[in-house]
Amino acid sequence: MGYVAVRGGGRAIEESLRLLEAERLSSAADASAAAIASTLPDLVDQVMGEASLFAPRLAALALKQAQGSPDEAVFLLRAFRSTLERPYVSRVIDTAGMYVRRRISAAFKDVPGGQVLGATRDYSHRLVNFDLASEDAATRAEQARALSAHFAAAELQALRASDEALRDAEEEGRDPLSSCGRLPRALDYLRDQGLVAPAAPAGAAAPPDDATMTPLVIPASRSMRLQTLARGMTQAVEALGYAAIRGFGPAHPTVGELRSGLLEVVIDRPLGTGELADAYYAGTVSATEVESLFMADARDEGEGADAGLAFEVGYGMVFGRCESKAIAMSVLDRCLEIGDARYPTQDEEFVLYHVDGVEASGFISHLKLPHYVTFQSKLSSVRSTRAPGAEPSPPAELHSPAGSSAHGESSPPAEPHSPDLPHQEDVEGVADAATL
Amino acid sequence: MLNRYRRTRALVEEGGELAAEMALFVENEARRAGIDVSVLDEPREELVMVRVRETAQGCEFFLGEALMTTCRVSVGACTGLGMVLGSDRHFAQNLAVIDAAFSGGMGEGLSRTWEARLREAERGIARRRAREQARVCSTRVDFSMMEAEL
Repeated sequence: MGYVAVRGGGRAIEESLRLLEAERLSSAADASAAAIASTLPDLVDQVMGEASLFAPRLAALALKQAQGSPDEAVFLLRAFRSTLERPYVSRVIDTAGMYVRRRISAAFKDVPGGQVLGATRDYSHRLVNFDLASEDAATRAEQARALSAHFAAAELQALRASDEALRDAEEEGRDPLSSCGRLPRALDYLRDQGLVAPAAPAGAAAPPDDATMTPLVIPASRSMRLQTLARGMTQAVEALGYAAIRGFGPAHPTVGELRSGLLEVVIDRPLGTGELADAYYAGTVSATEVESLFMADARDEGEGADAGLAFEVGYGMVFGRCESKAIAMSVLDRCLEIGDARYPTQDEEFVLYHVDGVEASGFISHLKLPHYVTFQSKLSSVRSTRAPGAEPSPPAELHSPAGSSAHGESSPPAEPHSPDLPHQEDVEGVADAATL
Repeated sequence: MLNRYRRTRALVEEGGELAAEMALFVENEARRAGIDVSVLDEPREELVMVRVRETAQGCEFFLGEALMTTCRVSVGACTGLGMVLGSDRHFAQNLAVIDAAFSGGMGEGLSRTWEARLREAERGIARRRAREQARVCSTRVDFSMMEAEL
């Protein structure tokens, strides 16, 4: 079967884009990027996380252009970031220094610093608030004033305490902002008791791999895994994390700590001393971090003998306030550490290759594009089986990664976890591209 | 004298007005003293990769990138760098002018003139955060034991 080049779609595509713009402009209502950023912060966070680019105003603009489609907005941001240089890497961020706006633990009631709920919908009734339909600027201002008055007494008390702390810090020559909003870690209690293995000391870790610079190779390094999950599609990460808990992975985890707040982005001065004092403060990014606890067999470090039970920690971290994604990421982190190939959620290739939003939506989306030649091939195959006295024939060779024998009657069926399966899809994708 | 980290933190968190005021002061002083102020690299958007140390195993990984604007300026023989997350080109240039001035001979005089304002900006940030933390801390759970029902 040969290929025939055709044309004629150019004008239709141009008209289609005009129609899309006309539909967008047909509504009298408009939302500026600033309004989107301030009224839909969770959606903006989701888009930034999946795009792996912290840029709230730009993410809001991308959402406006994408008419609310997170997939499309993520694609726009990924495309935009590919046009920029990236000359800097931040100093390593220790999340103990997070300016905390929310911190909870499902493992301990009395954690040091307390359970701080912050602003959360966790305990709200999920009832539609019809008052929002008639909300205007005046009612918003009135409600904001009432809430400010509600918090005023606590703020006044905090300001007095802050002024005292500032005076003390200045007298002692300390940084007055170094302890503001900091909370101790909930899991330090378990680490102190030896029930959770301590993390490697700072500076001992290998330089991280970068998913934006090197292709994902299986087995992946831990740094590559964490980065891939952090930029994964929110719903995909949550679905796989849920599947892992339901029976396709380790048992029910306990959230040891979930903290959310701001992290300082500090950049060393080029050719500088490398000390914090000589570095540039560029601003803050919002992030959520989760440490989940899983029971596991402990091993004696020296002899490798069974040392009873202990806890292993699954780690999750994302830009913004995507808490469910961060928790699911911590579950998948633990799953991939175990790596039992019987479970798809512990199969690196299954999890890491399929959670990326741009890859997944891009591949699914391409199915909408013309497949005239490949479908004609399939149609011929089907018709040939309907002809009187015809033997069933294999589909066209075009779809076979290794020649027609791959789909022949004598070929053994592919194993469910065969690593060849994704490659087979790749070949079809290439064939599709050739058709286009 | 505040170090570079604390100085840039105060200027960035303050929001830009203080940086604009200081940069204008530096440029006027430089003009009076016949010192050349040149933009070496125009303000431009770039990326910084955010590197994090996770707490489960102590491994470092890249959380993602952040959009920032950078600028490079010289004041006399000294070069300064301005960096701020987001897309504010004037802010980045003002930060670069201030950085260059503090790196050179003007640094000591500048420090005498502006140290109090920078420390006041730090206090302002601390007070803003204290107010925010007051709201956050009002959501701290106060557990109490329930009485046993007989």
